[in-house]
Amino acid sequence: MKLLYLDKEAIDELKMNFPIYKSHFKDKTNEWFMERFKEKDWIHESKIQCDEFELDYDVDYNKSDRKNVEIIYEALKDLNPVHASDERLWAGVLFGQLWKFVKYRRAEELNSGEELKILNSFLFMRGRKRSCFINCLSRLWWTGYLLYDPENACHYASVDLISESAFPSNVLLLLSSNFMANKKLALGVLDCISERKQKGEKIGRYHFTEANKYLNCIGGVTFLDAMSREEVKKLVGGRLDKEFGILI
Amino acid sequence: MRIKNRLSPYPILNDYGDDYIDSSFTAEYDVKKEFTGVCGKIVFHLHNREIENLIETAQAEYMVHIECPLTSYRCRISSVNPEIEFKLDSRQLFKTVEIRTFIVLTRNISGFSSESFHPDYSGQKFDLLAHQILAVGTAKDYNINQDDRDLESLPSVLRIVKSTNKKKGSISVNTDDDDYVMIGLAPEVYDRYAQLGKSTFKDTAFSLVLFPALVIIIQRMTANKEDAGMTSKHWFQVIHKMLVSNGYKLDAISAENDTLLSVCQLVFADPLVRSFKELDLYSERV
Repeated sequence: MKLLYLDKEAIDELKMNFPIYKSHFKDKTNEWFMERFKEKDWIHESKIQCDEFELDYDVDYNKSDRKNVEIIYEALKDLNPVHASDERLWAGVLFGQLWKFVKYRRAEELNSGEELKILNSFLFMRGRKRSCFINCLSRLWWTGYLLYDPENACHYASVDLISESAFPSNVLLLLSSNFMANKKLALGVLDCISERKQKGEKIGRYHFTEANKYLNCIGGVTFLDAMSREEVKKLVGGRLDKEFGILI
Repeated sequence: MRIKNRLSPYPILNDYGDDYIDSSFTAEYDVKKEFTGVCGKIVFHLHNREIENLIETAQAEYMVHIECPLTSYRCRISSVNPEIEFKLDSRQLFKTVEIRTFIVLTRNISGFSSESFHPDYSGQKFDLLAHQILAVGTAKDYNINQDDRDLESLPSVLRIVKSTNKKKGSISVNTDDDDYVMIGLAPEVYDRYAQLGKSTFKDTAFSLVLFPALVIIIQRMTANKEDAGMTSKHWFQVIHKMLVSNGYKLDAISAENDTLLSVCQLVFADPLVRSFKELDLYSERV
């Protein structure tokens, strides 16, 4: 199938004239929106193709988020980062092909009636980079893109770790640091935290925060990108041992 | 990567502090956009005897860090030579590319000292670790022209269609339409292209079909560049604009020499290399 994209004019219109559209975000189907968009020639097929895929709709978001990272990333592995950071693409897919998904994953927000929560479900409301990690669909792709581990037979092992609980806030916390774009750094940090988990420690957001804070600090005098995954794991491990204790 | 003017536990050579005297580390940039890529050359100028010695003895190296925060693109290029060239794929880049330069240790060293340390550090020696930064050079933010990142750029003026005209063989190029060029493929080829072009052999299918088609299209453009009926076509204007914005004039492109072929390779970011890489990857898997 070819992914849909929404014209920038439509995005601006939704953001500027939300009250006109508000009630229809509660619609069961996307029929009303699609009719409007087609009337105005606001929705188009992009040149981006992928095989058909079906997302997971588990009642437990922690389970479905984990599965959906894999489903979306595997289906759209060829998507380039420029298109993947384009609001028009994700908005088009959510209004068009994945309306059912946004209704499922953002049920509470869509029923809240709050403008920001509703628009955040479809559009980029927090700047291009940050929104990539907030939008309910783009964050799945970006998590796959940044944490897919080619060296591990289980390519999504790191995603398992951050999706055990509070996936959305872990993604934002962990991936919005620029250095996490380097797989050696991102996977080195997660290798270290994963090892602590295997030794029985309960992992929480404070582990991710501490690791990020420390790498940021070290990055002042050390060229982090030259480090190997193993070196990163050891470096962060030393810090977490000091902060949370050595585990045997 | 943002460089902040903050205190460090050992002297760092840079142009915003005074840890060193009578020393400098600067970088000269030549960065330009070329069709689907950004090319650059960086020449380093280092004036500090002790750091020069570290590079000569392979204990340190010049390092370029290239980052596009909006697309999470990040790479590093290192060398012991004072000149570094690079080429980036613009499908990975959006708006601004941040280029930063450093001299970085490649191994642990002990007792590092320089006669050019600021007098406050006079006589002091430092034990430093691999990957620590010795010097920070000139930085550059390069802004990308966004014309080619639209969801409908070049592919929107090239349309692949099924062609049942057996006289034309497996592939044909029709430049008659005002809006787009039609690349006709024989039904069996079209089906294979549709199937393989989506996934595993995307780049190979692309090279086999679009590359020869573009050679023909640009050749026809150069041959008909004075023909108003041709130059007024939408697809002609899109491709022409792309060529001009990358510094190529139709007058200077010819099939008589290598210019035509090299322009076509640049437009599609060296499709042969990408195809062979793809085939190589496949052969490793089977």
